[in-house]
Amino acid sequence: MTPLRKSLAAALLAATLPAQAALNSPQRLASLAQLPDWTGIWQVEGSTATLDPNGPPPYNAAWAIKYAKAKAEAPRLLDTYDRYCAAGVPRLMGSPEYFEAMVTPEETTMVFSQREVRHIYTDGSPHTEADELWPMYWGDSIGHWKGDTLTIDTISILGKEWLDPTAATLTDKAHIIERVRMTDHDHLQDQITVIDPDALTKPWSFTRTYRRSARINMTDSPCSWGIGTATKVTR
Amino acid sequence: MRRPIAPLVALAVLFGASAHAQTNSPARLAAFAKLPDWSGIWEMGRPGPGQVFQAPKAGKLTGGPGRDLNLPYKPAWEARYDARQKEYAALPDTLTPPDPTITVCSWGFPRMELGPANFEFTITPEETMIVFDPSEIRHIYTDGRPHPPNPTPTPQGHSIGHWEGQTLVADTVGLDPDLWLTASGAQLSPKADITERWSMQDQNHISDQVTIVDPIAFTKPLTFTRKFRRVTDTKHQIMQNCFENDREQMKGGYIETIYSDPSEGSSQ
Repeated sequence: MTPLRKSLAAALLAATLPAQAALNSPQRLASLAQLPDWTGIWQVEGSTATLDPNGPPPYNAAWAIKYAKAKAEAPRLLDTYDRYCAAGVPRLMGSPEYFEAMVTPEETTMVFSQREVRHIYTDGSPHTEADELWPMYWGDSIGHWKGDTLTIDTISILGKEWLDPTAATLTDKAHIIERVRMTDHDHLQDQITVIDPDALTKPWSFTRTYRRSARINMTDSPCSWGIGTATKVTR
Repeated sequence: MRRPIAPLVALAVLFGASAHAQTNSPARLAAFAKLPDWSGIWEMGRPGPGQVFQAPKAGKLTGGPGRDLNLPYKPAWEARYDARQKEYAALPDTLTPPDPTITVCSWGFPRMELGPANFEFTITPEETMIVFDPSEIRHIYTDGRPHPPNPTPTPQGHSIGHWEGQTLVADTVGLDPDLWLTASGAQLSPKADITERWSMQDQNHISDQVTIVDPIAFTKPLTFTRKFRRVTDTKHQIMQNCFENDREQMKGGYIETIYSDPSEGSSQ
């Protein structure tokens, strides 16, 4: 290589390096290679009348009384889902809202049809520090991958949010562990376990499955505009 | 200079891409290899000369750029905007203009990019998703799908895009004309078509060159550039719910704030 060509090559390299640096790194691509492709729109299968299709949570005696009273009053009250336009976690996973899943090394994001977002951070960061946490609709979720299964750990949920139209609730201390995996090309499965010693006699475990839906345009509409405003892709 | 893809795909295979049918395919990994990594949380950078978001105007219409946008309105739209300013300026202290960020919890596009919200990027071959912390989400489809022929008007509209090198070129139509472009109540017509060019300046800065073409409301295209910086003090985006702790109600088409304590906040 002549000196001129050498300096030209060096200049070209210098000019392109910053841009190259913004591309996905080999390390990130290697991580992506190990991750499943959940691209698509998913919608829950089975009944959405209760979060656990098998029935109410295994409440302890005190909460069973509280739940019976709330259930009796529920028909006269506005469901928190409607009142705050948020199903929250864990109710979202049994709600009729469809969701789009995006998997990256740092995070798995689930975006639901009415502007609810689950950020599940898989970058190794711990839960948000306790003094910066407060009960939130979607809680604070971190996760990790083992093979094709994403294990999600969620804390700091808003316990007063109804889990279903019967007004079942949890405490803010509820701890939710989920194991999500694709069982075949068209199905995602979420094994959900709720640990809430103040309200439940034992861990509450159940499974929900989601079917792949048509490739629709997700629309960003708040719930006050009505459910199901997505439009079909025309081609 | 394009990076060779083959070694990356080989690397992917080595790491087990083909070990399970559900993992990302070599073709998808090859597509990822051509895409930039903008993962993380971003927020509005310091406004500079020529940028849209300047000092708020004094008075009732706080927090918005108002006329600072220098919207190239046609005379009829200019008159409508001026009338609205007079109407809002005459409101009593107990009422504020019906800003859609409150009335329907929607900043929408492009106003969200003009405000203080932070946002998270997720780039995949099929789509770039931008999640804003007030729970508004943009889906910019890069899978080749077209706009729907008659898109339902929505706060973020319908966005499609393509990559020119490491620049994301997006086109958005179907914006809800009832939303506001500024806190002063400026609006666009249903025919507004917005083009953007998103690119990364360096690891901590990203910019969006926005061009609004609105043949109904504007005499010419409006172009401006927004700059954003990386949020470095947290990795977790905390979402807000605008419908929570609602302290406003509508009164005669305007917003009245409800104070739980009569002595709190109200000048009346």
